[in-house]
Amino acid sequence: MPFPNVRLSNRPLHFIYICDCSGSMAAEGKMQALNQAIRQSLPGMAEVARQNPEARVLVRAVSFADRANWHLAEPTPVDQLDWRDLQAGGITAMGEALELVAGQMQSPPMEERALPPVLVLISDGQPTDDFAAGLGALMRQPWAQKAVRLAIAMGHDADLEVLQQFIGPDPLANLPAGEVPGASGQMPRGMAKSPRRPLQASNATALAQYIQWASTAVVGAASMPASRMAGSSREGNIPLPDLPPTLMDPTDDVGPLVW
Amino acid sequence: MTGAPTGQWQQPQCCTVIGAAHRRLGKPCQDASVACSLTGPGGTTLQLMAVADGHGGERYWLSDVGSQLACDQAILAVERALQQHPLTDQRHWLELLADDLPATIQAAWLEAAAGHWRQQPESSDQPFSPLTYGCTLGLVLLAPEWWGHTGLGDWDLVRRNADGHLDLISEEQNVSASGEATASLCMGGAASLCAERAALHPLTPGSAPFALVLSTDGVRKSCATDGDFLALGHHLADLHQRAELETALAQITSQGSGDDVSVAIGLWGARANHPPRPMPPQRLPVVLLVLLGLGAGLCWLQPWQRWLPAPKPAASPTASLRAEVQRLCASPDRIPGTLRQRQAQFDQLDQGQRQRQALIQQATLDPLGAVIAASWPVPAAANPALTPALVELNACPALLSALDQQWQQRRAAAAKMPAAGNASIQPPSAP
Repeated sequence: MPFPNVRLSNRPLHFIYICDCSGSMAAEGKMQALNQAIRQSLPGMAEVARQNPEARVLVRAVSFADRANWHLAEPTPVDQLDWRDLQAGGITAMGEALELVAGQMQSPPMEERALPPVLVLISDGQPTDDFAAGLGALMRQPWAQKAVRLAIAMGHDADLEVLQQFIGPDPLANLPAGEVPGASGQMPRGMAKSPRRPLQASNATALAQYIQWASTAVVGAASMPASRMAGSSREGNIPLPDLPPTLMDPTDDVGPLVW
Repeated sequence: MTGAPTGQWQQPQCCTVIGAAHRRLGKPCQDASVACSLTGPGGTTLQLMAVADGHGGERYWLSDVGSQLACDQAILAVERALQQHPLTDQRHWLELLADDLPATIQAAWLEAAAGHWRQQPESSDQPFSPLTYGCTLGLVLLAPEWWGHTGLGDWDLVRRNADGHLDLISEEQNVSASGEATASLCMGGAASLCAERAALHPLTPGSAPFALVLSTDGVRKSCATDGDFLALGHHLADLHQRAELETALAQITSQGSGDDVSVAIGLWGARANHPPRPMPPQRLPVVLLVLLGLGAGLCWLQPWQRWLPAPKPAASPTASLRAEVQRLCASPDRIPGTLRQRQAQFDQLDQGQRQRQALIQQATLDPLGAVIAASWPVPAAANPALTPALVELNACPALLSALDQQWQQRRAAAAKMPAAGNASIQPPSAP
């Protein structure tokens, strides 16, 4: 009996960069480092996508400065992505950026069968608009609640508190050693380097490694069709892979402190 | 079809195929399924089919065992209940489905899982945790005068009527907003969650033929929309050969979610060509252990004869449309709920992702989808013969009103979104 005219489909995995493009990002080569880090991560992300054909990795990007805008509005298959450089200048409309993303975190336009999306917020400063309103708008959306939310702080002027609010509470914070879900099952040395906390990049090398980790290891984990028990908060929305070993120890950071 | 319908169940069948992703990564199949006949006092027969889906995460690393144990314990619990309670007491069986059976199954599952754990090397330094074995369970019982279901988790149950109409009988409601979360046998109080998935449906010998398709979430998640999932259920109910079913499931997982996929199929309404083959419960653990030893996909299929009449091919899409309109209007209070199951289809039509004409032409396969499509405004160039207005099909006011309400609700929801749709699409007028 022939197979019916039914649309079988792999599951879309939406990966959205939310990038701070405020004026401070122009200093000390941060904007250039971010553009380079994202661009360099794309081949690895494409390879992960190729290895996980059950997921259809689609990339978008939001930039925020005086206003928030879609830098890459169309969900773009990673192997077709040609990264266009972000430009720095303006203030930090982070709340507006989250509202912009919120508009896409409901069905439609999200597909019914989508995998939990991955949202990566990257910032070097503090929001200058109503961050709480933006976060509230985002977190009212069902797909934002399901999303894997990561944050990267560029330099030490970033507002870690708002980035942590974006991620949500760290479910690993109060667990005893040895009960941390993840590839190793071990608590990363130095909770400041937990993937459920803002990842602090103090130079271009560290930033590149975090971006690479998010775009490969996290995308790989999010691509896997693994269910889990409802009501278990400690795993987060997916069990995140461990950070690269060199980044797990705050005393063993990569490269010199620049930012 | 080799005999007139006499009002009984055909031997159910089931099949599990390892997910394409698990196969690629060398992971075990975490689904399990079972279908069998149980014999009670006086020779009464109760047929059972079940699917279970082990959670895939590392925290649930023995969930492949857990899903097998869930099916195993479901059979044993139902077999015990069958010895104690006459099948004619439908009220009591409904209570069993809602309360007693889930509680018995979960307790026995926990005990069996703990016993399995004690045989693992890790048990010497790690305490038993039910999480390690976490899985879902969907259970359907097929009795001579009723059928019922219970369970918990993200399994789905579709009913296909003789006229080809498909209903999603049971699905998991949104138990948690996060990730790929689902209710699980490893949760505290899991048994109490089964009540909302429990139901009992009376039958009479004259009840029209129908098919039931029970599936794990890997099947539904492989389909682009719920409409596609229902159409797939229609197809699966027609597969009578083991090879056909395995091939279909392999195609579903490889072109879809990559997850393990399981289905169990029950058919009512015709004379069984082969007597049910009961499986003594005492043999089940042995069989399951053997299958566990094999590592992956369980598939137990009985010889299968085509007996359920294929949906009568409609003379034209219009005939199917008309029949569907009549069916819907026969139960006006069910119309809004039925339409809500197809919200995605409304949205896709609205956004130009589905073509009205194509849906109408597939009315024999998906008559409800065709009705929804027919409520869309008729394009100027369309062939009027294939795009009959619903009013010309004697649609009742309740149907017209419910369709109009759905369009308005979907469009209101879309209006809250940023301009992402096709702005050239015109809103539908009231049918």
